[in-house]
Amino acid sequence: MPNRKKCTCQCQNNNNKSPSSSEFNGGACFLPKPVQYVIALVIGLVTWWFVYNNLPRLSHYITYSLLHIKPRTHLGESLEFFFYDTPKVLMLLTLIVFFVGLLRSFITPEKTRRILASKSEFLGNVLAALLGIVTPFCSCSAVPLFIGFVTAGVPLGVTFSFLISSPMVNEIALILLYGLLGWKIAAIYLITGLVIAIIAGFVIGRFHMENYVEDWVRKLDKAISIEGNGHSITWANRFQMARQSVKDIVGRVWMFMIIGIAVGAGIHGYIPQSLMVSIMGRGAWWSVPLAVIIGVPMYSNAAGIIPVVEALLGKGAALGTVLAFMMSVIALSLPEMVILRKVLKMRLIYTFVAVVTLGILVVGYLFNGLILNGYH
Amino acid sequence: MIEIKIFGFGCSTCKKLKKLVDNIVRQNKLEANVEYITDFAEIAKFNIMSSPAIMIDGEIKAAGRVPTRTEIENWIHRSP
Repeated sequence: MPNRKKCTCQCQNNNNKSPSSSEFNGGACFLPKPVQYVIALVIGLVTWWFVYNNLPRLSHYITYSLLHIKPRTHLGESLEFFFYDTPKVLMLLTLIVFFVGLLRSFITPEKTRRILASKSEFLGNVLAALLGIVTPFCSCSAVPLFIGFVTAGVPLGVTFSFLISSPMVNEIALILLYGLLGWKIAAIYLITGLVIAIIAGFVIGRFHMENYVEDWVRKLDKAISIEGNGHSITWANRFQMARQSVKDIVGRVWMFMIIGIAVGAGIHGYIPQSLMVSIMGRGAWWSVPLAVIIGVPMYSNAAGIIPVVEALLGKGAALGTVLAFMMSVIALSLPEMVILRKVLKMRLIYTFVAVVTLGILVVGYLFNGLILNGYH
Repeated sequence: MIEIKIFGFGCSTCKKLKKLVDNIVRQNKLEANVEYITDFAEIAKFNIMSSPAIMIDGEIKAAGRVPTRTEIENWIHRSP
């Protein structure tokens, strides 16, 4: 990752230091800014590719040569797994977050809202779920997004499709699933997550619960313009945004991830397979609801939970059970409910949680019933 | 007197922007009124959905990102 840091080009540094607002294209810089960004990007990508391809050797070397751990021991296997997975996932994350950050500078919430305000209900749900993948979301932005959507005339159900898909189906979850479990599981997660968001949002829309939105939100001026508010943005800004999102997101999730990978490594090395199969295996019908009950109050992001999920699957836990667990941890969280309470009355929050939970349960049972089971 | 409004929902980047603006105002000894708005209802009135956002003399200059020092200084100098 240090290669990213080098992207800050010389002249920008100089410029940041000087308090005056002088133009920075003269003197020290020979190349126009976009060209500098592209060059830095290419160098970064080549370095990335080289390091990424040498990770297996590196982890082997650290574990057995540097730390002198005996090969074919529990500890050795756990450590090698840890030293391979951590940098691998962090590197994948950095790469994807950067490009999604770039993409996000095009798909702003304001644009999303404009698109959704003019669509019919079911199509709106589908689009909202899809847009939820790429729009930035943290629980602190749930309320402003909600208000912005509802006041612009986006139907309640469509807004919920967005609120469900946005935290659950995101690039962080997908890239971790891809990196640790392969593209099939990532694709299954993407599709089931979207389906849950679309259907749950549509169902909530059918309940016509507009009265359960807090009164002060409904009294807000509906006449506000839904056009963007005119601020312009340059390519330099976009690159800067992408870099900033790498710093923010990777800086926020690395801790979760290392804890997750450590727990996963522990499960890998120490928990016997037979125990896991009896608790989370396909035979135990109660494991799906249990996974959801444990998962809902748990608060972690994708980065923390997916390494654990990998280890669970590797030890013979059923795919449906694991999916249900992962989705309930990521999609439904107590802090988000507390924040949403500012704009929603309790009854609508209960309905939201119930509908999403039901969707997750169906997904869990569905995949436990399929042949995909036992996928390693 | 320059009117600067910063909108944030409590995220770390919003505080970063507030600090940056405060810093610019102090260093350039500007006569500015810097307001940090975190109330959802208040922010909704300005039609802002992504944070942090910055408004200078009634015009929203950026939303959803922390602008650079140079950008902010340019905006301030350009405003009458």
